[in-house]
Amino acid sequence: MKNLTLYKVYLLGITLLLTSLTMPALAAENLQVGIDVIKADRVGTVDPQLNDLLDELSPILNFAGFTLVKKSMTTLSATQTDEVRLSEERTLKLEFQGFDENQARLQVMILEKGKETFRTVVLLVDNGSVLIGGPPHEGGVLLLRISGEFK
Amino acid sequence: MKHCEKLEQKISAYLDGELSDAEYDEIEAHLDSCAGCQEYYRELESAQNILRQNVSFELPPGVDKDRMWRNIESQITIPQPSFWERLKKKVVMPAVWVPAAVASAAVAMLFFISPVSKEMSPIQTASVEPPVQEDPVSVEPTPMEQAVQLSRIESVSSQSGQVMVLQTASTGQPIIWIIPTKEEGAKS
Repeated sequence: MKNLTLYKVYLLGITLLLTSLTMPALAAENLQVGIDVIKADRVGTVDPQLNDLLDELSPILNFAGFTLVKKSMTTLSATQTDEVRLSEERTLKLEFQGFDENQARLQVMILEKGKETFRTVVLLVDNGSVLIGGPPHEGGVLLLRISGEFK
Repeated sequence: MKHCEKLEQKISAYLDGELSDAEYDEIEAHLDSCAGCQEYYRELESAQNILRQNVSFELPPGVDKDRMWRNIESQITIPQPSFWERLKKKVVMPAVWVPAAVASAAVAMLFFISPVSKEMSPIQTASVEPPVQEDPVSVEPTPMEQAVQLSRIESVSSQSGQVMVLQTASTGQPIIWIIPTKEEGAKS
């Protein structure tokens, strides 16, 4: 009888442990998306808010200046979409496609004059981010830092 | 008939007259009620009588009887189980190996659920030729992304130029780099 009680306790403990591993995704319902619109060039200065970006990208990309053009944030529930104006002709469209285990699936599209020119689906971990860059922008290059936080 | 093994020594002492008054009364009362112990007592008594008839044992004069018995007792060693026997006894106990087996199974399950167990693939770059990529290109997770839960690119498509998928060395952050066509570059 005593041994049976011990078995039950251990089984319950293991079950709780396995359940807790999925708790962050199970508990979150929305995705708070942060969008940093950045202009990168080879001659400018680095915005103090973007010093971490310089450290991270300098081994890969040869840019000297990073300017924070725009910073916005939006909270999306599953299947919800939102748009962010990047420039007069360019728009960023976001669609949250729900949680997949411990990651949030987010579709990101760039539209120019209303026409889709780029599309990607990213899997964001909680407080994770991705970078999308390359399109020309006001004498430099457009860089988008898209981050997500589970809410 | 089986006797009470726990009382063997006391019955022997009872026969030898070596019990206290209280113990003597206790054993005597037990012998009145226990047939098995009565038979055991008779066997002891019979053996003692045979010994007394055939063996004459007298201590030489001047021998300290108590000291003699103390010396005898000091040389009696009760064999202790070896370290391996004690360890084996503890390991075989269900209270130890069953929880250990359950915990090991749980750890094994976590290992196979974790992304770390998946086969790693090298970092890949996806190059998409213009003008239009109808079907998005899927991107395999990198070893860093699999080893540690990181954000990653699932698919990518571009109608405005080639696309490269990179990853920062320090944090493993994925980077999608669009290389515009000459026409797109001229627009800036």
